Amino acid sequence: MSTSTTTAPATADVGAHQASRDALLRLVREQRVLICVGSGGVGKTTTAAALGLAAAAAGRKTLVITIDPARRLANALGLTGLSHAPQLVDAQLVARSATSLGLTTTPAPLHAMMLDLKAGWDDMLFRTAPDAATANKILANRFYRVLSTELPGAHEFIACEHLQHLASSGRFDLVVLDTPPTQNALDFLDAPSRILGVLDNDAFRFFADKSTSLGLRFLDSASGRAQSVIARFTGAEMLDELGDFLVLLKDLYEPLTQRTRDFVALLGGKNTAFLVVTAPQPTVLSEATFFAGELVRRKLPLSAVIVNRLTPRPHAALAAIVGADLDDRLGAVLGADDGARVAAALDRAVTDEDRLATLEDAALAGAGPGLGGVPMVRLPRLSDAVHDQGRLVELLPWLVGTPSGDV
Amino acid sequence: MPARTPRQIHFVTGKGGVGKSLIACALARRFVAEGDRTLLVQVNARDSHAPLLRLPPVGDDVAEAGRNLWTLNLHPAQAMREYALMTLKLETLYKAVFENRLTRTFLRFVPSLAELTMMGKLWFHAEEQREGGGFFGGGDGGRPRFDRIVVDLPSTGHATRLLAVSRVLTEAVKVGPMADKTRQMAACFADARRSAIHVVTLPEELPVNETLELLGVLQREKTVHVGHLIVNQVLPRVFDERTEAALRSLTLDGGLGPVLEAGRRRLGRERLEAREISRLLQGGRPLIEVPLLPESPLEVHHVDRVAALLGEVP
Repeated sequence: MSTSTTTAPATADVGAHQASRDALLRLVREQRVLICVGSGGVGKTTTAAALGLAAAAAGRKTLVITIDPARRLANALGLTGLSHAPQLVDAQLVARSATSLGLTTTPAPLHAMMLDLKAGWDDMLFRTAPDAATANKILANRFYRVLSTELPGAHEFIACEHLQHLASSGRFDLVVLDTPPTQNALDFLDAPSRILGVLDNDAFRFFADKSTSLGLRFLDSASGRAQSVIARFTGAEMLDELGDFLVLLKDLYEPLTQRTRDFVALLGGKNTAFLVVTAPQPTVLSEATFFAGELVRRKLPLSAVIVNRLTPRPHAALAAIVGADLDDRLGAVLGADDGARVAAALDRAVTDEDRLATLEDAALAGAGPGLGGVPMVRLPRLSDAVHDQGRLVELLPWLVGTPSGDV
Repeated sequence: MPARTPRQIHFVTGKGGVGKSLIACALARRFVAEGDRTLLVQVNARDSHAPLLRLPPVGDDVAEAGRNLWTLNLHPAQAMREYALMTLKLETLYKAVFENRLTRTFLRFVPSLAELTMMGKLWFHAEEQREGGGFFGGGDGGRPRFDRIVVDLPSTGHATRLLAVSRVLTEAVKVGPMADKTRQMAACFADARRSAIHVVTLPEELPVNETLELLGVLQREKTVHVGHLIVNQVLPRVFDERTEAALRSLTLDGGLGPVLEAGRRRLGRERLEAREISRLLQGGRPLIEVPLLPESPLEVHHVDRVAALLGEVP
């Protein structure tokens, strides 16, 4: 059943909404990398999955990467689980997506993966270390575990690194990345400079220039009391181990810096599009405008805003139907008692939808100017679970196709 | 009558966008109304408490915001500085050591130091005592500065990291002043008489999945006692079984089609929510439902309406 028949926005809006979907379809057809960003709970992962389906349906070899350990991407794509290795999505689902979008192109394979932080760092370590022995030594150091799992930005750094690695591997025409929620979206944007900041500084260079481990003895001369004071704060053995770690890392410094330059270039490049995913609630929208502003400020390519879960607005005429003789008309079919009950429930349903839709419109109008002036794609709230894969296919026309109504 | 010893520390967590701040503010309003001296804390967040409670912007120092109410926005850099000062005592020494570029690099490598210092600052405020108090035990001396501390934690992933940090650190740093403090802190948060975490969710599948996972982690790691489970934004149910059956018996044709369709959308959403709520109930935990408030922006009286729904909070 379509959600569309009761919605009736102005004709000019309908045209603008279609133009936005067409613009998003162009991005899906032409870009190499799509990055979905936004607050938690707005359907970012679902949107990433839907974009992946649309792209594969349009004939592009596509990979969707999530960082979210929850199984929502797997659920949405009909997979039992996701691993660090790209997994093939059932071609049937892609074919149904193509049908749903009215596409006649030959569908391409769709893969999905969940980036495992630790495995991701290990991957990169073995790819960039001069030899396996060095890699294994680094792997065994306690600070490597800290760097790869605990350091703020570690997640985001390795996500960018893998994004670049996979996007340039030649295996995929398009990579769609589902990022962590906005609370640490700034971490995401700052990850490269943060991690490089750790590596690219005097202390690191000091170690990098030494051929053997000095522990932290240099601090005796370099800054007097510092060693003993830090030791009081953290314990001394930790500092020694840290020194060893930095010495081990010296051979990785150049390759890591290069990797970072590569993915910074990729993120800001013309083949990448950032999509801000949001929902029509004021608190969520204020995060979206904040994020859109940050993207623009950093000269990153904000390309579209996707608003999920809009309440379908009932026809103005509905209120009239509900208000007038609904009791009587339903009573004639159901009997007076049930007729009155159902009429009351319907009245409430229509009233609440109307009120929610009005609030959502006001919230969107308020946020509009802060959203970067890019195309805004509007998706209806479905009354069933969206990540149920059948419903996801149903959502595709609202995203990049031509739905039978408007919202 | 035995003296009331309220549980002091109340963490509030949940997936992003579920209304944690609303619940945290409601808890704080409730405690304040009960006459408890209450500190309301948000962690490294864009200030969401001030707009909800119509307060001036919340800063990164504890500030009085009304009768019995104090607010704080906890930032890692500030917390780190204070924690280091507490440990190292002398500010000049702090500057010489911690504001030195070399050493700052190393501190970034210490596992979860930012999280640890933030939790450390919370713990510090939990331990703070009131001034005054005479020889014969009158006055406020010896009583905690804050009867209640409500902590609006970041989304679940961050929350579990924050709460686990003392354990992680106890493993990494085995000796030294930091290790001792860390152990005491972990014990305070794990003590059910002293601390609890309230989990907020929405009646939707993904937030419920995440909530069930979080509850599993909390139960396994025992870092903190689970208090209330709150499901926010529940659509008021207008369809009972009888009304549902009557609606389903109607056909979509005629002029009523669009109305019936709106009714079925509502019914679908209500049933979906009921299913998710029943999944939450399977854990046997009592559940507090907070209805969807279709007003915007929320006013303080909405917050108080929610506070009334929370029932008795030990």
